[in-house]
Amino acid sequence: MLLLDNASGGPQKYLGVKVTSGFACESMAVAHADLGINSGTFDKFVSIAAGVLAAKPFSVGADDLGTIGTVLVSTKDDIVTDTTTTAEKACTAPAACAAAAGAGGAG
Amino acid sequence: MKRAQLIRVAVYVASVLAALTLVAGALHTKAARPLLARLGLKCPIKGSAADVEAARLKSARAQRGTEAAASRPALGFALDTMTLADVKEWAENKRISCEEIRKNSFLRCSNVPLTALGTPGANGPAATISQLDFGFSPGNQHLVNISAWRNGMSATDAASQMNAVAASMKAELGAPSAEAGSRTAAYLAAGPMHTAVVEYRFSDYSADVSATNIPGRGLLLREHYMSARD
Repeated sequence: MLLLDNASGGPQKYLGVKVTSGFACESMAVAHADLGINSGTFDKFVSIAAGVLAAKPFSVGADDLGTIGTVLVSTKDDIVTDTTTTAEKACTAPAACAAAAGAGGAG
Repeated sequence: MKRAQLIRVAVYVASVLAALTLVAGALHTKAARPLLARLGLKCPIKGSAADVEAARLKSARAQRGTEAAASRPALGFALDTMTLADVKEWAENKRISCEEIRKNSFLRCSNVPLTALGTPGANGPAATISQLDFGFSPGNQHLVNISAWRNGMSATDAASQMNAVAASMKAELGAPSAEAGSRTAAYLAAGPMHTAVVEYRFSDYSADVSATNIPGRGLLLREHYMSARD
């Protein structure tokens, strides 16, 4: 959140592990380390954030969205930790699982 | 958005976020965790199914419209009526691979062809839903929330498919409650995060379709259908 505020020109400064008010916070990597966020989930978050910001009442323009998006995406390597694909996990339709396994899976 | 307006929004957002960050940050300290545990509370990010449903309901109430929807299209599924068992049966019949991400409340199906949803038309990658997420009320396991994601699309496919979905919504629901961006390939391809959105808001239902240019990942098309009933 501080990162977004910083990116949108607000007064808060995100400095990674400490903000200007003196309140210490964790780095992006530490804060998200145990959440198991995968790349697809990260993209979904970015998409939802863009949709909310683009629509009313915020109506953020394309250029500003681009700036915010660039900042968000720059954090991806720190936030994404789960590279497991859906096809590697258990599923509820045995026939489909067998078909997916036979095709080499698809994440 | 003009710079002055952007700064006003940023200052407002900053003040709210600063307060929330302070509270949330304090509650996440190691010192506060035993207190939260004694109070029977969990970290909000790792909340229970009931916590997630409470947050969904709060969001649904906040964005409700005033009129009831004449119909509540949701990719052929019936919100508030179908259950987790019904959706699992559909997946089994259609040979769709699904994973119960959260027991009794969240089912994710992958690589779902539009034909499995009774939607003819597109060919190629655009004709497949990458992930179809189903949310269920943990109390009665009724279907309350659906998101359909198509990722890695070209701007041309995303614009084409978004227009098809928007036309289908308009035919069933009438004029949208709100729109933003432009549903054209040229606009969506023009830069990172270029986004087009079409929204419907009713007292008992909401629906959205959006396309976003995700930097380095292509276009992500999302259809979202949600019950707004308590």
